[in-house]
Amino acid sequence: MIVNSMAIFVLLGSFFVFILIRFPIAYAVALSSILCLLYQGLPLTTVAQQMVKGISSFSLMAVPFFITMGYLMGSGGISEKLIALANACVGWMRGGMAMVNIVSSYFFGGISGSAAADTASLGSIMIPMMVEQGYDDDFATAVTVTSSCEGLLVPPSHNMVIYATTAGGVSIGSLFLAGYLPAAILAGTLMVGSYIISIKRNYPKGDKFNLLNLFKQMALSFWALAAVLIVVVGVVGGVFTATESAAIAVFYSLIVSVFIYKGLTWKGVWRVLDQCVDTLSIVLILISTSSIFGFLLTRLNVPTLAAKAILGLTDNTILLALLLNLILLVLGVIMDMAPIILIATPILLPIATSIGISPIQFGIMMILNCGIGLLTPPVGSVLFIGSAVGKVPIERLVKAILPFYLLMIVTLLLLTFIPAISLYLPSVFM
Amino acid sequence: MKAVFNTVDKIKPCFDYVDKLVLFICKILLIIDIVITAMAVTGRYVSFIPDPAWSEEVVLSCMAYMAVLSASLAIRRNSHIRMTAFDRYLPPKVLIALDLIADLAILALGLVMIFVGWSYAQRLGSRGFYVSMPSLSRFWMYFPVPLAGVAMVIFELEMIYNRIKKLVLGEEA
Repeated sequence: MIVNSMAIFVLLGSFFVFILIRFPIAYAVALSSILCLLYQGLPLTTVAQQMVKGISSFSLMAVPFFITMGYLMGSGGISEKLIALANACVGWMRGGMAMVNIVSSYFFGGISGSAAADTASLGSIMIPMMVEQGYDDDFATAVTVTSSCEGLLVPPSHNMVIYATTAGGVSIGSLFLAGYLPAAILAGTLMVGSYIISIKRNYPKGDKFNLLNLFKQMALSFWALAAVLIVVVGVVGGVFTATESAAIAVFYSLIVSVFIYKGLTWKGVWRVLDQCVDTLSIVLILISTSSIFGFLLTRLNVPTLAAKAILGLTDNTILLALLLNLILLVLGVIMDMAPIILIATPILLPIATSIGISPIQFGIMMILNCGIGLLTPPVGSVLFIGSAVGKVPIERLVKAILPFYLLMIVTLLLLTFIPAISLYLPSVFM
Repeated sequence: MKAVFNTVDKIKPCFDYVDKLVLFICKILLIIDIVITAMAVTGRYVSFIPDPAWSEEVVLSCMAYMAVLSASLAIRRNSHIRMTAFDRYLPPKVLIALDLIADLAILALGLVMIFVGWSYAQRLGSRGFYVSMPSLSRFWMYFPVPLAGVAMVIFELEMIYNRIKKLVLGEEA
């Protein structure tokens, strides 16, 4: 294997310098790739070729569709219905509203797939409601932002699509199924933590459990939750691909939001498309330019070299798995989710597979790691949204989240060392 | 100096117009993508709905155009993801200067994309055609790259101007 150390240095060194001096990551990736191409004397037409190749993937089309579906549903008035359903399920417990918040995120995550959307949408309803019922504002906000990470794991999630495409050969259907149990475990650990805090602080219980009310709320939320069924059952059942299911789900969401729940007008739909384009403007170009970077990483054998270097540190698989998590956590603290998935997957996935972690399990680990990163300063976008929605200063919010960080790390370790949590459902249904 | 800026500011409505136009095109492209994909998959199961052979290639081309055009909007709105971890430790003027350097680099990237992308699209366009639409040159498949370059350059020029104005006039800008 020929190692071109200087070219690797040019590629990675310039990339880190560019992101340190605040270049937009999408363009830092392209610029460092151009420098590397120039250094190697390769034609710059590779830029055009790889940019188009990167974006010309039918699987990736699911990304804009899922984002559109999420925005349509989120703006179509389903938040209240999902909160009412969660209230009927778990509102009777001590700290009931915290539980409702966590369970609502599980439902809502299936529809939006975005932690930021979850925090903004559910938070604006749940946090004032919780404060009114006697919960501390920092606790209410902490529960909202941490539970929003469930949305990244509950399918359909556009980040899973990005990971599956970047990893190459990973079934999106399997990845979708793999997310359910980890998200449920995350919800469970957050609920346990919230319950303990609620007892300590004597937070109130909700109304008594009522089976009739539960059925009523299920019926009201049925149309919203059916969107998830269309996607997951459609993909897992082989009726259509993730992209096709996403396109159908967009139409379905439109019908539900405009005609059934009547939360959106046609003008509203047009405005929702503004939001979709805003989000896509950041994600799609990143996918496109990362393709040049990925091409060069592969050409320069960086994944193999990185695997050799990290595997050379120790042959203890437990330590290596912990090291992978640590790398992802550190990246999550300083970078956003999509760039990490696009840039780190080609480098870290071979290491993960070499120590026996399946690509599906690694995808789930990566998404949870990035999710934790979204809640950490200095670049945690969800943390900032939570702080703005809950009107709680960042410092106080971070302090309130501390016990939840611990719970999320516990969940992460469970996912890392018990592969069945991620792999059981795909093994049964796929 | 302020008078110069005031005069140049009169061009701003043109940039706003381009912004609106690009946003409109992106929304239409997104709608086209959704409609064609949904139509193709429904057509597989419902006989009277067409499932055209060109659907996938058209959808992918529309996505490529949407990706690059919308990215230029993000330049104008300053919404691209960047590392802001150390922002609070840097003086505002240094931040503006760093942003200006980034803008100049992106402007250079835009120019590379225009020239390299155009030459590649033309060369490839002269060779091949879309598989499902033999009459359509593959030029259109690679044209998004120079097009992105043009959109990037337009919005970057405005951003660079705004940063220089901010550096010169400070808070007044």
